[in-house]
Amino acid sequence: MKIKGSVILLLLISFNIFSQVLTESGYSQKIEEAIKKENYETAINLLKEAESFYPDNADFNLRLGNLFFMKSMYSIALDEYLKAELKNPENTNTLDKIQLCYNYLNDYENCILYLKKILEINPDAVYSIDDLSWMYYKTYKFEQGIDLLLDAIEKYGFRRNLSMKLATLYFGMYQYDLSKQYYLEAIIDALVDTASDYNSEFAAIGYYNLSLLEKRFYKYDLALEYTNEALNQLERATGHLSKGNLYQSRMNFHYALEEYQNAYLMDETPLSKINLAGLFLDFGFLNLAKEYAEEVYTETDHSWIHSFGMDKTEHYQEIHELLRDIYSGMSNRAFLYPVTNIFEKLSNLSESVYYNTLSYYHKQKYKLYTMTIALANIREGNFLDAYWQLYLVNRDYPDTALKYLDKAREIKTELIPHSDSFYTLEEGKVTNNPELILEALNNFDPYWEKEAVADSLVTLAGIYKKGTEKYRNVLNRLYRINPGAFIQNGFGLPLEIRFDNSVPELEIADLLMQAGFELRPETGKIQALNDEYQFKLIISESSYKIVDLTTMRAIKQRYFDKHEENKNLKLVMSIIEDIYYIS
Amino acid sequence: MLKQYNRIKTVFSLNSLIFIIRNIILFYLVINAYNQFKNDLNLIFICTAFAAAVLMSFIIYRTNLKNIFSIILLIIIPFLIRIVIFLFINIIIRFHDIPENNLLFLHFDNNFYPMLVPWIIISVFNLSALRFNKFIRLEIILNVVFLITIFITEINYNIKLMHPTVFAVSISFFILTEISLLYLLNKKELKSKHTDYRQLLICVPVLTIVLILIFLFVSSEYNKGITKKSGGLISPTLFRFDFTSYLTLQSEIEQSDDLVMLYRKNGHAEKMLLRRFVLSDYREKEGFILTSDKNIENIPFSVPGVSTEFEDPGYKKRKAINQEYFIVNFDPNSLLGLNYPVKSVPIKNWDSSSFIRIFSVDSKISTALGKDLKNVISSDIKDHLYDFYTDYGNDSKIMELAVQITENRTNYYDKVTAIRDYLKNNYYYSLKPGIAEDGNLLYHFLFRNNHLTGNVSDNSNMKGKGYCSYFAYAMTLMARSLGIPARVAVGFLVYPDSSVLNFYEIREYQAHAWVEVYFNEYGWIEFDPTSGTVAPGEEYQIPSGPDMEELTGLIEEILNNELIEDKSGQLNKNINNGSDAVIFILNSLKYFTEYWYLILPAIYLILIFLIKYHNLLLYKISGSSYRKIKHLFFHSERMLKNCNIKRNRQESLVEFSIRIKKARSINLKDFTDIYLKSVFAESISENDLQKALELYKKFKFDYKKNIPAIYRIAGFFNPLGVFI
Repeated sequence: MKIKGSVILLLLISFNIFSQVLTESGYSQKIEEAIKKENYETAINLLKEAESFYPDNADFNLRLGNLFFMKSMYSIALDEYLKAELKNPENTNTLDKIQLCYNYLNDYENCILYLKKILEINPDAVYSIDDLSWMYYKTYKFEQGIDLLLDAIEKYGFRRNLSMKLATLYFGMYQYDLSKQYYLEAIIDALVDTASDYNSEFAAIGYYNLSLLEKRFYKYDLALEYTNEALNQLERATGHLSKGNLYQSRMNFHYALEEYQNAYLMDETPLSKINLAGLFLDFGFLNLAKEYAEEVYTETDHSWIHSFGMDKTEHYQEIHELLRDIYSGMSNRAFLYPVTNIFEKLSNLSESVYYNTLSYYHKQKYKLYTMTIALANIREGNFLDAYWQLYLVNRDYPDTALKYLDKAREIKTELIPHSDSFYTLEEGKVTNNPELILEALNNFDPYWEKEAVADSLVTLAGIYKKGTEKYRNVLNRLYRINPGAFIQNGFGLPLEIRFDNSVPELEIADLLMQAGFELRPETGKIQALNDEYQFKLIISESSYKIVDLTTMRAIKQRYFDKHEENKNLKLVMSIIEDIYYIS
Repeated sequence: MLKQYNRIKTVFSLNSLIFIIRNIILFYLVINAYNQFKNDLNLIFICTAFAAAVLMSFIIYRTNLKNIFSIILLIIIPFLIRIVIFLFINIIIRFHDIPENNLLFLHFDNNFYPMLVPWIIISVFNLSALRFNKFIRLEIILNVVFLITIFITEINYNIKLMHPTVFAVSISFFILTEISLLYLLNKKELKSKHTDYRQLLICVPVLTIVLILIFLFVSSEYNKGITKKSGGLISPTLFRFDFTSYLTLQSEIEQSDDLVMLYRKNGHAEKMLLRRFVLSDYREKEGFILTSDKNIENIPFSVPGVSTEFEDPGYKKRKAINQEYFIVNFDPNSLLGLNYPVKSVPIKNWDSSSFIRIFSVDSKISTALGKDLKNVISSDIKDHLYDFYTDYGNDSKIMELAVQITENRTNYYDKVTAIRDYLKNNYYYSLKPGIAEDGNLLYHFLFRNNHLTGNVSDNSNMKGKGYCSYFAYAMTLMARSLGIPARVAVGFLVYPDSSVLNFYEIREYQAHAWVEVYFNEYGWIEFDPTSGTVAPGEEYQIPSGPDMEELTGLIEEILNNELIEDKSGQLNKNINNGSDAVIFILNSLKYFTEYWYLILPAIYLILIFLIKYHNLLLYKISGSSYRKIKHLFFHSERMLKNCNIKRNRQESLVEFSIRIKKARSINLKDFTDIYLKSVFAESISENDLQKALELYKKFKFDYKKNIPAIYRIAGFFNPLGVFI
């Protein structure tokens, strides 16, 4: 009787236990329902419960991983995928998810490891070959990538994706002809195939890459042509950015701004903000540049990098370089802003020191990131990029810098002879040699390489002694290209000045000189074209006018309230903003 | 000779001790500064440079170089060292020219330039202190200045505070070493120059008070900064941060994006208002404040240690909803919940948790629709509560505006929505509402450009602008002026965009204020009148989504741990971030911060009393006649010292008593005789004590007669006495 009772009790207990446990499909159904209702807490609990009841079933780990992956939580997703891999190591779907997680987490070496695992299991996984070659590009392993793709093309025939990646790898190795050839083949293939919308996007990306290639080899017209083609195929942020870059090298502020703003509207990455910051910096709008650059600097999500040909280190390098220059400009600006008393001067000085310290900090950070990139390139045998980065790191140590500059120059000028002017400019900068800078200046394309011209002029003005004829001539030339470069570099425009009656001359002249202007009283003669003072400032009781003496046209005229408090200082500040176009 | 040797030896060992303690303080400051850049600087380099700076200053001190040249040399030395090291690196490169070696210049400079200023401070301080004793006093002050500078730049008004234990220990250590330095300096002077020992007795408490005062001042400035930076709604509490229990308006606020907590709720992502406080007690000058009267409002606002059910008023059309709170940087006792919470369950925290507390809350949220609320005609709230919730300070201007806005609206609900929409549509959102000329920020906001009162400017920039508190403040007062019970609620606004797998990150800028209006049977219903239109010329950073890197780590931690009810009845161990002693110190500091203006004078008075009257106290408690006479006599001396009448170094007690009799007509001579008798005689009788008492009274009489009261009082309050 007792035994019978026990058996019944045992049966009841076991029935009770089993009635609590769902079948695998039962769990799946409940999980789906919970996800549909956005009850993720329930879904996650069910998945964990299911995993504990069916520990050999990797599917629950995969699904949990997918749930996290879908919400961009790559590190937790990776944990689940790795658990799934332990249960089923041969599942290429799991391995693919793992490599994707590593990719999004910017861990490229592990990503490569898993792509290789996939190819070991399934050597014909062309998509994985494609992904692996991209990883090789991102880790500067260009030769390995090229070998892999050439083998694949030989084995599986022409594939546009593979061709595009191959072109990019040749791009990394400065192989212009091969890179262009493979880009064009990929683009043409996409254009011929009109079955899918993706083809336009593919062609747009191809043209964009091609425009980068042309720009790298100083073929600006072609670069612009391909950028336009890229935008014709599909309007993408990168197309606008590329076009904006080309306009910026022509120092065409408004065109470049328009392109960057177009990019900004459709950009999900911080790239447009970086470009906007760079443009505003070039043209002296330092507050705007600071706003955009600091915004990018504080962003912590870098998963967007996976689809671009750069890594986190390069991104940080770029941001720190930008911030270095912005803060340096702000320091110079604070130093040059005119004041009327000692307290204002002290306040400006402390502001200048503050920004200078920030600039120094970002300079050091920039150098550290540059060093990392240099060493990575050395490891992979990409000596051109490595030497160039080593030059950038060592700019403050001329002997070392020149050593690496020469090495980079030797390789690059063999590939692209026109690049020699840029190396000459850099050599001039490091050695403070005006002859070299002038030599470079004369070799730059005056239309497409205006940015480099402006850069050379800024460097020259920094070398020439203030108050000399050469200094003034350089500044006049610089002013015609970029008035925004003045105050941020601590320069002041040479000005002929005329005060009309009842204007407090001395005080205003003093404030203008504090702001760095070199003043000469009006001569009354018609100016020669090569005169060192090509601009005239005429100040009357309630207005001022800036005249270009070479054309005798007023470039700015403004009225002011003569009864205003602190009138002279406000007047000079207004003149500064008008002359340098920085308001 | 031996005595002199001993004195030299003592002074020498004191010098060494001072030298060591000074450098401990300097090292403490350097390490605090280094902490801010620890990812960029090399600790070994910093320590080596520190040691080198100390050594160099000592070597230069031993030379006979003039001060100015010594300082110049100390500044030049690091550059000379740099030249030597660069030469050395060049030699290495000559033998082994690899990029890694070429980068040694960069590695060196990366630490060298940031260390220059500390080098100068360390070496110049050491040299100056070794050469001039008086510099140590200045050094003590400069150390405080440096520490405050480091502290301010380190925290930068972030709500992430240093660990309280670390902070308390660190500051205590600093104060202790500073006092030790002062003590040793005094001792040294005492040995070498016979300086008055009492200076130390005065200086140590004074220095302690001054240091505490300075830290309190910094702390109070820091608190003000935090409240301003946190949208005017959040302020620091003992351990973390919490909402202020009052709502006042500020002319300008800032916002920060520090993570406060994670919040989880099942179901669709939606906009939610997580309530912390309701502020319903209106006072004209102070604004809306939290009422402590439980008879008026009995809303729970702290998380109980055990699972607790709260009173459920049983309002209509309410839906139960569960929420979980994972507190990262917020007062762990603060209860948050959707309107209104009915149950709170503490959840067991795990070891090394990133959260300081976890709890779940069940709330009953309203599902009543506008058509339901439209049926409400009036309020059935009790009379005294009705008066409380409709108090608007009888502001006729506010009422006039409310009446105009709700003209032609007869329905209770329609009136409320009319006010809300009026504010939402006619005002701008701004973090810089500006300063009101007459100081009335609400009027400045509300009536700056009121199209209803005809005061309309064509310039749209003149339209009223404010942040959420302005809108909530204005709507509550307007509703109340119409007899509609309303109150302000503060808490966090949850954005649906910040949802990831039912988790929502809550950051500091989400602190928000809104309005709750009472509807018969339906209870208190939320209305958010804050405008979504940003004032022209201003930019408001709209959150672009959660910070996935930070969020992923926290969610992973939650998912890896089981959430079970904490039945221990105790607060989570993570709440109490320190030992009992630390909690006591922090509690004391908190009271200090609040009542420093009362506590500090009280401490001063107690100290002064102890300094001036300790002999009298000892007289009272002493058993033997000899001791009683001694303390009474010392007290008489102390009374004279208050007026700076004191014995010269070579003067005997008798000579002194004769001098003051002549000069001040104060008779201490007889009392001195009795005192000397008590010192030298073998025994003292009761009669002698009685006599001494009488003489003391006589002395007191003379003292009062000959020293004006004003001097006696001033002498009492001044630790150093007054000159008369």
